[in-house]
Amino acid sequence: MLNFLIRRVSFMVISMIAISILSFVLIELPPGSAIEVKLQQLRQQGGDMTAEQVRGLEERYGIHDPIQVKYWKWISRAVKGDFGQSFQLDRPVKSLIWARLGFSVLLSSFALVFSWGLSIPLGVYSATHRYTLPDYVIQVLQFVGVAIPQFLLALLLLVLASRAFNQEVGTLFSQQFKNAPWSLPRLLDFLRHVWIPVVVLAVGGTAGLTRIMRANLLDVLGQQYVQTARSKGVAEHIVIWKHAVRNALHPLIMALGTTLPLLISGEVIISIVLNLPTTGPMYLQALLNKDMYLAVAFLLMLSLMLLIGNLLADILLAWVDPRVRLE
Amino acid sequence: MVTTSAVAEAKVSANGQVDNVIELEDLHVHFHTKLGVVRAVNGVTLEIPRGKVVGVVGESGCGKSQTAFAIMQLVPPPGRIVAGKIVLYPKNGPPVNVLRYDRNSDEMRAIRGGHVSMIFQEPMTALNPVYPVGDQIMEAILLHQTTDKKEAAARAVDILGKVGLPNPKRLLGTYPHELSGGMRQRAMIALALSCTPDLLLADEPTTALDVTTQAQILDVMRELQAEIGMSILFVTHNLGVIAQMADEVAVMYLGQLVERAPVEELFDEPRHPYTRALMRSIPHLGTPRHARLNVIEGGLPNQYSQVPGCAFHPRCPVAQPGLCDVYQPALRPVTPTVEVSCFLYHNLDGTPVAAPTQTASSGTGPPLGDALPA
Amino acid sequence: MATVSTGLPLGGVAVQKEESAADQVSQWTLMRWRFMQNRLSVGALVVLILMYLTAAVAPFLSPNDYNELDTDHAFAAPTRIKLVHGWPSVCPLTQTLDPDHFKWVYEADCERAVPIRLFVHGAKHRLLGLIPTDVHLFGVVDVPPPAEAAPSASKTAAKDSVASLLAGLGGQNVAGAASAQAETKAEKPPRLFFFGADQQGRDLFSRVLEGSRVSLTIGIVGVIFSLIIGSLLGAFSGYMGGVVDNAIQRTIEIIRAVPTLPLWAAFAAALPRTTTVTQRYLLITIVLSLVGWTGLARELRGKVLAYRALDYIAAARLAGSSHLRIVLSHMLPNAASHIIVIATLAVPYSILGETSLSFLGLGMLPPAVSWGVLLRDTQQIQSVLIHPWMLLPAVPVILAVACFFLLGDGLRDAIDPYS
Repeated sequence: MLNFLIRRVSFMVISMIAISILSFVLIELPPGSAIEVKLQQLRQQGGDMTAEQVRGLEERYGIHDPIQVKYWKWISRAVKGDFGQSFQLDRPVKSLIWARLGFSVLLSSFALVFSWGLSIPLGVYSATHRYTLPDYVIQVLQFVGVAIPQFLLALLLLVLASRAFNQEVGTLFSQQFKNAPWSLPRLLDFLRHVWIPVVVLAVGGTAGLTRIMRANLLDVLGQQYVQTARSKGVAEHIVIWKHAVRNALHPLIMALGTTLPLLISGEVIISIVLNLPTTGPMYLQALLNKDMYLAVAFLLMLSLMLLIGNLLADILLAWVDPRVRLE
Repeated sequence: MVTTSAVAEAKVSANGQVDNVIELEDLHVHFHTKLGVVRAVNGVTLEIPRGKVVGVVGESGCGKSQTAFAIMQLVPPPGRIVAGKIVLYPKNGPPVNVLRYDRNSDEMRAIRGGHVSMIFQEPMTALNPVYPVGDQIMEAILLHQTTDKKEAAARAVDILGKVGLPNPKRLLGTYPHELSGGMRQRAMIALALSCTPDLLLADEPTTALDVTTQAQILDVMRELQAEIGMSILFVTHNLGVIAQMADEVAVMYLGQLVERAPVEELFDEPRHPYTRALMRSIPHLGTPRHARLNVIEGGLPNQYSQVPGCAFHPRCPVAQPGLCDVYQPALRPVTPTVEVSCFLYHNLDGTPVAAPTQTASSGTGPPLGDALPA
Repeated sequence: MATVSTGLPLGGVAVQKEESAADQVSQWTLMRWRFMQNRLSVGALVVLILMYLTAAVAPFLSPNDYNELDTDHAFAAPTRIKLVHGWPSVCPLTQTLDPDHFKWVYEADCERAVPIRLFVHGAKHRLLGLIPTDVHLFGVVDVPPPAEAAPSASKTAAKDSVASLLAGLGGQNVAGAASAQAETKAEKPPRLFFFGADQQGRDLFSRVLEGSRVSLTIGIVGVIFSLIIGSLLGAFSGYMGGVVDNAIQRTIEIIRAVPTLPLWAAFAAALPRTTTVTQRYLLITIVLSLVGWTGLARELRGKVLAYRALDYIAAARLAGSSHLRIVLSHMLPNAASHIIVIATLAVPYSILGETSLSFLGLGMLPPAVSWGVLLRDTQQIQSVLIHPWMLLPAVPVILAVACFFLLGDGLRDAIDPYS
């Protein structure tokens, strides 16, 4: 187990390096980045002060250096937590990303818990009541849930929320709490707002996971050890929840490998639609404006989020299934 | 309860002082599928004497496993027990009409594992992979015998030792995937016997094992059967295993019993044409090397169809037109110990055929020998 | 012997016949049989075929030119079809500005309803990209017969007097505006907007049809690119093993460690913005497949690993086949059915990818039309609240994606009923 963890963590480090190079190159490639715009501005202002500023910036970000030097200058600061400057917003990247990343993690985690909490009972019900009306309803909803683009669902819920509930959407806080420090009322206010993005985010995942759960449970229910449990005189609900569901969880956790990227992707896009104070809108703006240091930082952090999620999934898997522990 | 004991008394008095552990009467198990109804068990009547091993043999799909599942009321959907009676006579306690209980009722669950338990064909998949072996055995003990966890653990260690597993204490915390196939089947037997059942249903328990392990497992079963004094319903298609294990044999074809006999008599003198054909299909030592193996002519009919008359008549070399393809023979005694359902041995009205010795002389009697194509 | 021959035909012969039939049909025929039994998947296939046919002849089916601006019908609601003399007809709209809410208000005048006609002449287009024509399947003819001009004018005057009457009761402005509108716009021909019109008065229905050409094909083309990369790399990865396998697998893992949409977005943002529609189309498919190939390669590698252990591969190697030949002519054909299933299930993700990217303004860009580009107009939530039909382009997206999922599901069950 320890060996396994060490292997996984070292792979994570290598992945992060590769991703940082990839994203750096990707965002460096196109001409017309925000830093050049900024330098242009400074040059136009003229004067000794700005000329010095221009030189300082050019030196710091290696404007005239070849790309590998540029990368090195950037990465050696990045590992210390200095991700450079957002030239669009004129602020250091690190002052911009953490709060937004926090909300992203929070939102994704809520959605994950929500979709698991929903998909397991739904899948179990669907599998144990096969070919009944509720099973068909659940199955049809699954297809719709998977097929509906998340941004569209966000839009629909937005329309619904403002029409039916008359709730202000497109924010995580009411006006009076927006910049207030954390407190119980603020938390309650947050919870009142956060449900829309969580529901939107969870729908796709729930649909997929319910499908997996149903299929797996049907598979497991056909296994001999389920009959063994029944033949011992174990009550049916214990047979299902203790003996069958536990075994059906394995593929569900494996599915995290595909659930998490979808979740993070979904979080980005629905935050843009709902204009939430998370990574999505700022990342998009950074991309559109070629505000490269900001965009790279977001891409790296989103990838890190995914890698950590996958690591947690692996640990969970080893905990649930003793057969994995051996490897 | 009143009615069940009344039934039980009637049965016992009719048969003299026979002590049966379970009696199946005219059992029907149907599978209702989209394509039609499969009559997996089609009127089986069978008693299992206390302390004896009854083997059920037949081709795959003849309903032998479903008969065992029916006793537990664990016929998998879409299968259903549509008719029949199953009366269980526990060692201590009044007789029970099993089918009166709902399949998910508390009473039924007390019977499963408590009075009747089961072992399966695939030891690799019969134990739950995510729980230690000990937990799985203790679960049964805690359900039926004691609520004290320590005592349950002690009993589990005891039974694991009895099935010949080394270091039973350590095994309690071992997961199934850490055991070999033979060890798993032993653990499975331990699980099944942990609550000293009256009847063990063994559904091809050795089919998936290699021959050496197979022999060991059969030995263990035999030993523990004598020790606990339970009965075994041993389902298999392997006649060799039957010869080794069973006291009595019931031969099944298409959901019906065609012959019942003590094991020696069955092997010495198979009577039903199907039993004879089955015996002939076993390759023997000393058969010429390139000789073709004997197979039973024809194939099983479509599972959704119902064959009129005797179920075996389309494949039977000695079928009598106008009789076998019209009327269904009943299982009737031929000798005091042997019952056969065939018009070779009794007439339509149930009276014995005039000279039964002529046709039943041996497995390769004249009528059969002539009729079978080479 | 006689008994045997009379006894057997019941079961024996029938069974034998079935067996021999099963022997002769090919694996593909068996799959087709199994697939045809799955009604839902067959239905999905039919819907998809219809959608692609529709896309192929989109201009022919469009009642309007998808790019035709018409400020008189900005944000016009979906046209209500009236039955006049038992024939579906369209009522002309008059446009007025509601000064209180700053939105256009339309009034239908069904006295002057114009019938929808079949095979009308309209904007020029090329049928299937080949045959130049100006015939459309249906539409409204916008030339009102001169004889009807007089009565319609008098009706306008009548309406005018009603408006001034209303003005006397209350809003002077409204009436003034209404009469001015009525005077200038009265002779405007009626338009047919099944799905309503967008901000510039373009026909949303025609735009959805036009958009389907991009949205439906971009998914498939993207998957074809992924297939080429994925199946080759996946097959070689599984076949070669060792360093090659390791390198490819680690690459895949790293690409998959980046969340898909942000990665697509980063790729798409790096694309030059000054490209033609066709170039952009190709670039977007490449972006989609740069990520998409990994899933395919994974699945295929698993298959090939399983095949590699089989005897016929060893036989081919002993016979002196080259690695390339073994992979291309022994392994890939065997995995073909699996590749088809995986590819089918990858198409909806591709479609969703394009739609999402275009929605964000990173995919197809106007003047190109795709479902995502159309949905980009829904980003102004206030506008959607007032003009909910702007969400209609989502319907074909959901339909296409759901059908592809259903189809893929059915195909998978058909090729591998036991998994």
